[in-house]
Amino acid sequence: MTTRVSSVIELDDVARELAMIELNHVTKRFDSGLLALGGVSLSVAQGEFVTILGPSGCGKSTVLKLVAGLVMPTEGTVVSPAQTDQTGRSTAYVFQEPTLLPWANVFDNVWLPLRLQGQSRFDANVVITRVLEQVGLGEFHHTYPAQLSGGMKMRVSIARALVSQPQVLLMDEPFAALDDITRQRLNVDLLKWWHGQSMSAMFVTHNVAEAVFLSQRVLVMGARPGKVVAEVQIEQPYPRDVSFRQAPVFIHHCQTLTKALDEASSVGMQPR
Amino acid sequence: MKLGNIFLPTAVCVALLLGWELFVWWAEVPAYTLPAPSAVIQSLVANWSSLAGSWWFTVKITLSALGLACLGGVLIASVFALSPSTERALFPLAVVLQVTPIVAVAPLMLIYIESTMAALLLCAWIVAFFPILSNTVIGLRSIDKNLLDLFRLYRATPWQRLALLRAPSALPYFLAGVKISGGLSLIGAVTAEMVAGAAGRDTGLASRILEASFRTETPKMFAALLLLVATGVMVFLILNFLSRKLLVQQSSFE
Repeated sequence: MTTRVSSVIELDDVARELAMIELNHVTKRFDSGLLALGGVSLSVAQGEFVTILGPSGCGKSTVLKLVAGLVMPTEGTVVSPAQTDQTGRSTAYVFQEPTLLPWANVFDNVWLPLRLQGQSRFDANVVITRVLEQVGLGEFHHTYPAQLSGGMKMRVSIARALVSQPQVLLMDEPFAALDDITRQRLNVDLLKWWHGQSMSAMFVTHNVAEAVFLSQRVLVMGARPGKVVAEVQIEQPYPRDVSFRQAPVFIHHCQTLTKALDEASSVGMQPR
Repeated sequence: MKLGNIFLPTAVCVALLLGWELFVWWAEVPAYTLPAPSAVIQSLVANWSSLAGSWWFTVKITLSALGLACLGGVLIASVFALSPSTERALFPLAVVLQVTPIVAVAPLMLIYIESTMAALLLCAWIVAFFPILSNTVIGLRSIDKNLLDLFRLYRATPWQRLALLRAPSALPYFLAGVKISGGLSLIGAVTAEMVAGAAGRDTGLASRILEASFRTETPKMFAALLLLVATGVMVFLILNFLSRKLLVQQSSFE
């Protein structure tokens, strides 16, 4: 491992103090017997943008599901707002597919989180209109998902996540199915939407450039069983725009992470 | 295009009826063998009072059976969806009910059930409920797992999950089942009545057909048949219209 990649077993003391999310030595074994996670420790501070980068099948998604409280750890502890939240407002989740209700129009899809918390369409109108304006879908209140492009559907999905003003935004490869231009545009926009809200973001991807562009910190995960094998700080201030992609520091981080990802992936290839 | 859609089938129908009429007239076929379409219409008008009452009886059985099939199918499907072990226990029974020819079961039903109307209703129901049941079970199963997770994350109540996720997800499947069941409930109602062979006032079109056949009133048989066909087509059109209305956002753009 290179010197630029620090070990993550020792959590940064500052991060620990402000931690919004904390996983301590978490293992997860599924009913099938598969050991998905083998001792994962990480923390995410309030307002921090952290990306988990790893090869397919390394348990990246399982980490997000643990943070969301949708999956319980086999061993270890998970601390996150979703664990104690009774209202369902603390955490939002964006899946790889847009996961919209096909029978509801854009407005009603974005209304869903507030509706489940008992807000009427009328009460929620102002905030939904604002969020749809923000994601560039101000004209599409009454459009149905099937009429939208993949990128626009993903914008609706993110609008639905933002509308409840969560403390934690979890994103599981949200742009993996999109073409590269749409993905890059959404990366720029996502940072705009996230920046200025005190929301912690956890983003899962296997795309190195995306990880570097978006995050303050990148955690590299290895497979079988999944664990964090490297951590890289991206100390570029926000707002970041397209020019960051040409900067030497961007390319340098990409190289570092590609190497780390390569090492992490080859671990999984060895016979056990 | 639109004009052709209506014009072509109409032209074919008219041509067929005209050919039939001319053939009967030209070959001098007696009415008790093959009545001309005009004779069928005359018979329909002449026997209207007895046929209309029977038609209403058959419609009542058909629609009640369809209504009960919707209710029963959805209820049983919900139980199956909630409890897989119940489904494993009872699904074979539903299949047995489905595959047994209703003509063979109807005589037994008539023995065990005193009221003929109830027996007819049960027969029609048995034929009609299965497509609704199996489709709704598939519909309730095919709910997006991520959406279920999302509802859990937002702390949705069981009632919200049913009303806002499960029911609308299963709706297209349910409606596809209802469209099949609509035709089947008419078939079930007529078949059972054929077997029952009941005479008297409170009987359906099948009894009129049997009765007319005993008296070799062939034009009346055709008239009753015409009403049955019209009923079947009407049920189909109404269900098609309803399902198109209910699924307007989902089906037209995918």
